[in-house]
Amino acid sequence: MTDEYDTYIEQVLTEVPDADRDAIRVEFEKYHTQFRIEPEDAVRSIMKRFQKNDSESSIQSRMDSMVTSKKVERFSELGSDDRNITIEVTVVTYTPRMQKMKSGEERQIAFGWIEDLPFSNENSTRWDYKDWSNHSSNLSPGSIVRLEGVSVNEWNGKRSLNINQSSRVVVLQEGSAANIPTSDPVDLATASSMEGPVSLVARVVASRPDQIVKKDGSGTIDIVRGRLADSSGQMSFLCWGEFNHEVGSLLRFEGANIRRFRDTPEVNFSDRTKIEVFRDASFPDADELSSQNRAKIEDIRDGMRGVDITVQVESIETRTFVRDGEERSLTSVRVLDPSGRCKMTVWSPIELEPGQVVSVQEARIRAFQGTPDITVDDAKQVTILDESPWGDIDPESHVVEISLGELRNSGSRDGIQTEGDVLVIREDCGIVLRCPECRRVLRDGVCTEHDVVEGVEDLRLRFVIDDGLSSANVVIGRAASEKFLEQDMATIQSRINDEGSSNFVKEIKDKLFGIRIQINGRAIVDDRGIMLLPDSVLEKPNDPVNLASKVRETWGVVL
Amino acid sequence: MGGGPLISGSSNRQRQPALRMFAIEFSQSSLPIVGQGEFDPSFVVSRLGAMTSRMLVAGVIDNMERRDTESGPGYRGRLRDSTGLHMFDVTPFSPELHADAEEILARFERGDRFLVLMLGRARHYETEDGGVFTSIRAEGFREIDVNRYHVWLARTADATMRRIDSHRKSRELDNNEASYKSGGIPSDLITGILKSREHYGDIDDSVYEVAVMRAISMSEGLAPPEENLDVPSVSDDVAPAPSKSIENLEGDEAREKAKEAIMQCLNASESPVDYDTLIRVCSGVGVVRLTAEEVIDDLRDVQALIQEPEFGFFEIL
Repeated sequence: MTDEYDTYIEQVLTEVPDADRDAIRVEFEKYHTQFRIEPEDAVRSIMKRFQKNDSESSIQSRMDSMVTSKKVERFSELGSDDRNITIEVTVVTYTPRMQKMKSGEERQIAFGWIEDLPFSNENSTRWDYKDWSNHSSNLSPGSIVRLEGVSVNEWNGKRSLNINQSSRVVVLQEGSAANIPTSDPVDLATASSMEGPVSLVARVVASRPDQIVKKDGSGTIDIVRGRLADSSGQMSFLCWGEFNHEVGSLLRFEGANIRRFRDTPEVNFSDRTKIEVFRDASFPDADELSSQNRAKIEDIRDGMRGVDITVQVESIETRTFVRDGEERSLTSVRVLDPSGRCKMTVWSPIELEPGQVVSVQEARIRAFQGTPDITVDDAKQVTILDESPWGDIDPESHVVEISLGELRNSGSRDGIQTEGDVLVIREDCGIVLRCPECRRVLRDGVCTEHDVVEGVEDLRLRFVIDDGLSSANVVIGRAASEKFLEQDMATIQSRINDEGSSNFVKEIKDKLFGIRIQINGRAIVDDRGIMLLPDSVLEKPNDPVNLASKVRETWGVVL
Repeated sequence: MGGGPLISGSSNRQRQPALRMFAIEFSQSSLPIVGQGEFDPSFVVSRLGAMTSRMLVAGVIDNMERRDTESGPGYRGRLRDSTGLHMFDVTPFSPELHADAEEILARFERGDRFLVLMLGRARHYETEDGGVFTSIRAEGFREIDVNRYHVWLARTADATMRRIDSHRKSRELDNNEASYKSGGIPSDLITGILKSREHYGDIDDSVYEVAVMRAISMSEGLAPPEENLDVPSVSDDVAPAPSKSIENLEGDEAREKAKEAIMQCLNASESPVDYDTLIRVCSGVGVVRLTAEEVIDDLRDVQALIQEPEFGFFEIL
């Protein structure tokens, strides 16, 4: 018998256990020889065909078998066509395998051995099993599990168990320690770019108990939050349960998990994480580590907590509002440091003056319109310094030069200057209509939020710039566009009315494709790349002689 | 637990930057990496380890022709920079470029030669015997002046030198990611250099360094060293060649001469001979460039007496 169909017949049988093996084979052969369709491409169609048959003829018996599950202790109690079985077993091996379909789609299945009678001293029997729907997290070798809703498969007289899409796997006992995924510990800088399980060696630099209130109101969970540090950086942690280690302890963590809260990685400890005291006399001590904790504006990311930062005040705006019958104040401060600028929001009354340099303790970082801002809950967190650590910065001229490549590896930030060649001029440059409520661009006079509205005309340009290492989307608003094009909106509007907008776009394409522009403004950086929102744009003239001699200098090229 | 972390890294949806690259580096590349998923970009990995998906190239239009394909009309052309040739296509799927392509074609046919800056995607095709040819699918282009061309040369020299430098560094390091990282290889080059070293083995980077030196001296307005391939002068070569003379007997005579010279030159050489040399050999016997190019195309495509085992290099079939 041709073996090429077997895998696919198994797949059909998994989904449609009642189907006749030979009938499925006949079907595959028909697809193959008559329709010239490879079995891997035919499997879905054939599955559907049998599911249909199945529902017509034997829906009742299936329903019956669904509700009446058969609970057994030993494999020997099972018949060759038993379905919906519940049995407790020890997982001996688990070997995942990717099965590639011709369509390019990949599906993970797994096979391995299981043994019955996990809690008994009697000799257990070993069977093969196949996991058709990726229960990998619950089937780690060494663990004892209860399989629910699995079925027997008999092939050439040999029986095995199929763990199906509808099956449930309940872990009764975790695999022995040897089976916890262990790996060499990584430093925190490396960990911060990861997601998922990780091993770490790090020092605890902050720790405090906290509570999470369940959203459904069913109570609270006690947790511990804190911060770890090593010479490469810091990271917040969240421990689901007890954490009995003092600030300053050096610990080794195995089976910790890196997760992301907004843009910020956070390491999670659960009862499956192994935490032990680690000894290493050369590891930096807590004082040394926490002194590096002073962030710069370029370092802050949405979702950070416990940030200590020093900034210079540029301008202050305070407004009051009433919440719960109580008058409260909100102070919005524009701040800067040598690495950039951002906003700081203080949720309690505070007196500040432009030019002052302040030290902020334990701030939170929240993003507003994509740019991270410093959030301060209590004015006590802010200390006015007598002396600035960097001398005076003139807010008027303060920009931070950064290349697109550096920007991509940094976070969203304000007050930057960057440059690149204009390589794409989008067709939707020109006059747009915006919603008067939310400023969204209207489509055919309709706002996605506010439905049909009277649009407000606005001018904007959209480019892609590129410096050979990274690219960025650029959205230029009206003021900067008018200045850059040296035309005001009314002129552009009347020209577009006369000549059509495609002529306008063609003209700026001819003028701008390939030129280098310099941008001052704000950058939003996320997993889709960089978006630049310029305050100003100008063409950067380039002198090839200068550029070439710079290249010679940089690389020591001798002609 | 379980779930979530399996899916990570959506970053391959980010736009691929346009690498600044000389023709010689791209045309000597033979390692394509085809993206598996719907949105995964494909790359051509150069000997210096550039993962080329999108590129910004420049040079003089060396050939341009209309091509009718199954999917509709398109254009194919050649762009010559100071180091070699790029093949490019303007596909039927980018009709927004056709008006400009038509204009370039018309000017080319009039004998006009001019510099073009071109943005495009790296493409490759494989021959039955496993050879890999590279070309560019144009995404945008425009005519530029000599000053802008020199700016491009300088920036491309910089980008090429950065790759040469990293490739040289990598030879002192263990061939793995961690060692490259700690050895100071920029992150955008790590994967490419690993793949390059695996595929190409030891490379001779001197051709690329010569390309850099030539580009720098052109940008600085100095006379290029030796073999004068100064691009602006190409138009001088070609402009006085009226296309009429090729169609008469004199043209046939010229073609015979060119064929003879080319076959002789290729016979005499052990290794494939580059395009420029063939053109020079022809001009040595008094055949103008345009005719010589025609003859080379004819020998390769119609008479099949010569072949192009590597883009821009010819040998007797």
